[in-house]
Amino acid sequence: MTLALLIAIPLAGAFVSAVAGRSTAVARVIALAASLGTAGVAAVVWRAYASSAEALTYEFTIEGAGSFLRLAADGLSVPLVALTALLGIIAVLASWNVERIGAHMSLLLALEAAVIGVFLAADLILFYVAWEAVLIPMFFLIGGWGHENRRYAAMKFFIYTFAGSALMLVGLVLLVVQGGIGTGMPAAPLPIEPASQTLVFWLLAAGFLVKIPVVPLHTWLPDAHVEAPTAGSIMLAGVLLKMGAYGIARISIPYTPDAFAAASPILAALGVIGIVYGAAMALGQSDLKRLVAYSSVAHMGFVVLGLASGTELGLQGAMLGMVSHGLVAGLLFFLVGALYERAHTRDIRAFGGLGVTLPRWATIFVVASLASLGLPGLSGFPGEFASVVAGFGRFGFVIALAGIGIVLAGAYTLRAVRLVVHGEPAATSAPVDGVQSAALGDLDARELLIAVPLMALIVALGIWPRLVTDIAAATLGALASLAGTVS
Amino acid sequence: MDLALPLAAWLVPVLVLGGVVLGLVADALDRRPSAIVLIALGLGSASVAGFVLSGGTQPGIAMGVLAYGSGFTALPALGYSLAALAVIAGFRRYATADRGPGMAALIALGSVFAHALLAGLDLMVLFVSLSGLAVVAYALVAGAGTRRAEESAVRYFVQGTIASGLTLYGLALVFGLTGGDASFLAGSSALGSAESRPALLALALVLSAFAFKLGAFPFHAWVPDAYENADSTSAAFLSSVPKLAALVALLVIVRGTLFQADLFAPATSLLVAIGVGSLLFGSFGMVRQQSVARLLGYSGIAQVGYGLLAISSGDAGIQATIVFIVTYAVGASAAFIALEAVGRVRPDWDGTRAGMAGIARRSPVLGAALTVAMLSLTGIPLFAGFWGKLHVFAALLSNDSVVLAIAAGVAAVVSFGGYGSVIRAAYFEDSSDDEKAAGERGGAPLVVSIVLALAILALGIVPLLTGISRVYAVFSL
Repeated sequence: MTLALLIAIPLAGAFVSAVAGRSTAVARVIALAASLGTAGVAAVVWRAYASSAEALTYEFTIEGAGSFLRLAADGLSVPLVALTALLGIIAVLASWNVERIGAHMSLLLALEAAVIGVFLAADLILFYVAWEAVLIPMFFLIGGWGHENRRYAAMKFFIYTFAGSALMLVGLVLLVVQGGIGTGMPAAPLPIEPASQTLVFWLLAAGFLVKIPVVPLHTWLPDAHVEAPTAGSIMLAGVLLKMGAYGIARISIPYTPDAFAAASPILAALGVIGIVYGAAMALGQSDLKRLVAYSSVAHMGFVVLGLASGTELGLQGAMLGMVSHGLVAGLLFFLVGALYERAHTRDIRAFGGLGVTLPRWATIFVVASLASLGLPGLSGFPGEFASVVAGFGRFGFVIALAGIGIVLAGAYTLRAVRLVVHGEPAATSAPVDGVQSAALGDLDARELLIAVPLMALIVALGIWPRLVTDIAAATLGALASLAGTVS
Repeated sequence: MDLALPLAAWLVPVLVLGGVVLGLVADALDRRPSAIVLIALGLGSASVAGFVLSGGTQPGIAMGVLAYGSGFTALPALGYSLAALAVIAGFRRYATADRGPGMAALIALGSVFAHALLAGLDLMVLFVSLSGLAVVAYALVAGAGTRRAEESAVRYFVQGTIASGLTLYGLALVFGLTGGDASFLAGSSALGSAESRPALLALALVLSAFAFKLGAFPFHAWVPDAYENADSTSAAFLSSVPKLAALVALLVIVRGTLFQADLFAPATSLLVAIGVGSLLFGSFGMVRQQSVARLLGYSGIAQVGYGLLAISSGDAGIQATIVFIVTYAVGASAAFIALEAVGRVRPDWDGTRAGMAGIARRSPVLGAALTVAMLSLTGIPLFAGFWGKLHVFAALLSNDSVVLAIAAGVAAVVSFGGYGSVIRAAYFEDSSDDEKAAGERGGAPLVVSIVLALAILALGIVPLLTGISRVYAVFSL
């Protein structure tokens, strides 16, 4: 029942918030209570799982033939569920002052429920249902609360990812039909016949790779990110992108290991391309939000690379990379959103010297940026390091190309920090109108309540990555041996 | 011939016809509101009776021509409920216009013809019900009363007569091949031993007749016209109940009764071609439509494609066809009745997407109902339409038709360009002028929209908990 609560609480919150959310105070209280409650349950699950160290903690199935409601949690899903629950609170706090708050909070909580549903689903049909259910609140969040180009971005987001997931659905049904299996996913699924694996794998990959996203299937991401409201960006970057990588680990590797092994060089290449391309594009951006969006493409490239290696080290790297990117990108999007609320622009060139005028904002921004570029001691490093090492081990020195991306990451991050944090306040020589940053207020107590815990976790994970790897080890080890048996 | 007449076979249509007769009497006495109430009562009680009588019964055949029991009663009962809801949603329209009670009576009559088409196992019944439905459809389109409606009814009529001709030729050919036996079951063996070429020709003609009735490619031209120009409540009926009946009737004819499997095999590719053509033509056609009713017309063309593909995929497709058409019929009714409600909330609405701008701000409940209908028609999970699409995919894939399944998936994605644009207009665009004063809250159409939206959600979510069979088993044949 505990696992069902993880979905039921935010869903109930979404419902109540939609019905009773005309009053701002009520909507805030309900949203905060629901997200805190979800996080509390997630913490209970985390603790229980960490102490039991079995491959599968809970299984919750409604009795009766044909029900699709099967939930399970293991080392692959527990960290991601916890991340979702945490970012759920952050997103609620970050949208404290939006207009039409009842509807906004309702969509946010529904989104949280759907994403947790993806991570907990132990049934192929339920997995797809939750996967698509994610699209609906996100579509409305972007379209209803986004920036100038929100209508276009919302449609593009929906159609693009729906195109991927329609093919994924064909793949899932083919998996069930050709594999001759039920829709339930056992703790250790058996691979389907090698002959039909390739087609199933690539149909599924169409859905997963669009969601991650890998270059060249990424073009929806910058638009969606830039136009989405802050809370939407936090959830989008923080957890939605992880769904694709999760799907590969959860479904593709166990059910189609041969096809996965055959495709892994391609996946690795896509990962490296993403790392380099994302970083290069980020370097060219002047819109701070777009910069963070492209950096997400690069970070998810490391995750894909780690997955593609199919080794335990690589899978651990991917898991660390996902959690770290969730925290870092969540924090960065929050900071950019907070700055935009004050200055009404996100153009890097309009800022300068925020280190003097907004010291709290600037300090946290620098820490998040350093985590993003992969500085050892912060959360970005261990995951990317493990992914690259695992990639070397599996694919050889070609992976050194990822080094270009790492160097570029340093360049775009430090460029942003230099232009925004250092220099003269409100440089009038800038190519765009400078913002009188002295007039802007620094982060207030609520905003610090969002940023400081995230920052603390980023440091903690950087120093002690076993926070995540210990809990994921058993499951990922089993997965790696499954992926390794065929290669 | 068994002449026994069980309750399940006769009670349901008699309730409807009784309502129609009483309604027309009331109309003759100039009591139009009472007339509409009587007709709606007839339809409503028939639908309740149908669902009750269908439960737990084995299918049987009454008087050698009409199947009854299980899905053969439950599916018509669904048709009667949708017809009843269309009449209720259009209460004010039908109770105020001169020929309003006549329109309501036509909807009721049409649903009886649909019942006969769906459950009839006889060539004569088939021909009479197809022709009857056609006449009802022409009259409903013309009944909107505008010049454009009359014009499109005439066009529809001209195209329809050609289709009727094809039907007549086809049925006559079958009649000849079976040696004058009009019953499907008796005719089946005669057709099986007949010369294969005339039998195939007969099949092709019958398929064309159904393709026209269903509005499938390449016999689709009348659909967008008719739906756009009919009033929304009549379109809600036209887009759902006759299609439900025709698709199931086609399923019955080609899977198990008149045309046996080995005879039908060569025609499968014809069915696939019609299906894929409808799917792609309809989906791509939707995207650029400005008029929402026209957009839903193209949507109807596309959706029929899924149904035909399901029929084409053998025994695996039988359940898929039923689940699909049930979810589609509910979704299409919901969409058109929501449009009727839009017209109430914004009386000067011109029928375009742009004219719907910001309607969800004005009436959040209407926005939600409209969204539910659109997402269900797209085939998004949590809404009924998903199960329909899922079953069609499963039927195609268990038949190894991966390419067709992918084509169906692509068409669904493209179709969101149309459905999504309606949601986009309702939610994301701002309405141009302040309209606090104009319009009303939505009245009966809004209530019916909510009922249908809740039904879509229930049909979408409950199977997740209980399994698909518990919910849709009632409709299985």
